Amino acid sequence: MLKYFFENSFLDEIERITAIINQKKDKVIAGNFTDPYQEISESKEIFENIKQYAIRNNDENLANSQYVAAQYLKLFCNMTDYFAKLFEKTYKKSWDKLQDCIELCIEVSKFTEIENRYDIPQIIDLLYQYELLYPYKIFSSPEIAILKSECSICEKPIQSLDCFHITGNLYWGEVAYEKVTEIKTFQAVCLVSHPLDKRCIIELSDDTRSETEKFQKLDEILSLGIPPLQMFAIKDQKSIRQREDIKIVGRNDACSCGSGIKFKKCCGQNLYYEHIHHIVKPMNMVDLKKEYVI
Amino acid sequence: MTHGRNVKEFNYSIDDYCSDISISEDTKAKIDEIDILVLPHKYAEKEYYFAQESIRFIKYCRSIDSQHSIDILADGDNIETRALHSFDLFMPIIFVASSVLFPITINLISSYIYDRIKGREKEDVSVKVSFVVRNGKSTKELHYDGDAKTFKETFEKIDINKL
Repeated sequence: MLKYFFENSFLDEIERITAIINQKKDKVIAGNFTDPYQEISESKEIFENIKQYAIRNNDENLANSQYVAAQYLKLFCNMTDYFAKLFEKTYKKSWDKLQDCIELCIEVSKFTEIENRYDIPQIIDLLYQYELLYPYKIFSSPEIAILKSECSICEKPIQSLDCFHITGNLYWGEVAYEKVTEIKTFQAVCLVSHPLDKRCIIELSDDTRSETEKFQKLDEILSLGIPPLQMFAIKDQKSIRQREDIKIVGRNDACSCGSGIKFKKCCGQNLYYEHIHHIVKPMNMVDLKKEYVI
Repeated sequence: MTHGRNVKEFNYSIDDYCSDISISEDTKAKIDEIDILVLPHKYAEKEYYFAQESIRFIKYCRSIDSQHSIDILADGDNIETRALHSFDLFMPIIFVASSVLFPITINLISSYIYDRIKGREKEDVSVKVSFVVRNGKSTKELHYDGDAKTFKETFEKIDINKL
């Protein structure tokens, strides 16, 4: 789909969109993260014109490919916003944005053959590397019994086989999705490691740690000044360290904390802790492509 | 996350479903008329839900295979689904009208899985699917719970007539 879009570059509108995408990529490469969504508003009308042109010319592939190209541009806009949030150290908000970026990569890839995905495979690898730096591993996932829902395109009940639209598929530049109109029961919220939406995170209500403390690994890696498009690998190295807040006295002496208990039976039991040292190995830079038709 | 492959037999009674839920005679007749029929899972006493992928699977099969009849064992639009919002694929129970149709059904599911995981090929996705295969006057029930990528090769090794 993505290749099909760029192959139609004889259309002025597609040439303009290509220029906007490349301009956005230049900004990402240069680390310019200001006004992340400017290009989306700039291109909205142009995409609509391409879609209308496709409809007039009975070219459903073009109508669908403009949707995919719009998601492709949206990816770079969201990536800009993501990196901006990392630099602002608003780590919790950055998680949602990271998920937006990953979903956009998947959305573009879903409609594009593997060999025509340009820079997406490298980008998604990079985003998954960032994902590993967050403390979120378990998520909540709702279990719902749906009674009624309708198709976003034909508005017929989606359960009805009279509606032939397949959810998630593209029809004339529109994605068919399920609009749930009646829920029978909200049966449960499950704790899962592989949800459809990783935005449903779980946090402890009495966790008063600061963002830098909660997202220690992410903060530590970012403090190394790795460029945003730099791929990296992390190896965790465990070591045993001695606690500096415990004053060592003789094993059978009274503990230095003043408990009155022998040191060996008090703080002496917690004298050492496991320290995880993250060894970061820089790898290649993500190569943002600017040539789409070879 | 890693997924093991697990194919095992399970018990399912279409008669129980038909008697627990008041289904019209026309719908019941589908059991003898349709090649591939989607059935609901039983969750509690007289409580049945169609798995998350049920409707999408039927529409997909109809869009790529016009030679075989594919339908759902439910009256009209009275289809209650259970959404789990999982990355994994929760498929319905699939009734296959004859063992001859079993390899065709496996191919359809395999294509469906390929379509569903397109764009996230590097992710580990598991599939849960059950089959009720009519073999002469009896039926054979099979359940698969495992890696989406190994679904097809697992069933290529199984001869339904030898089970």
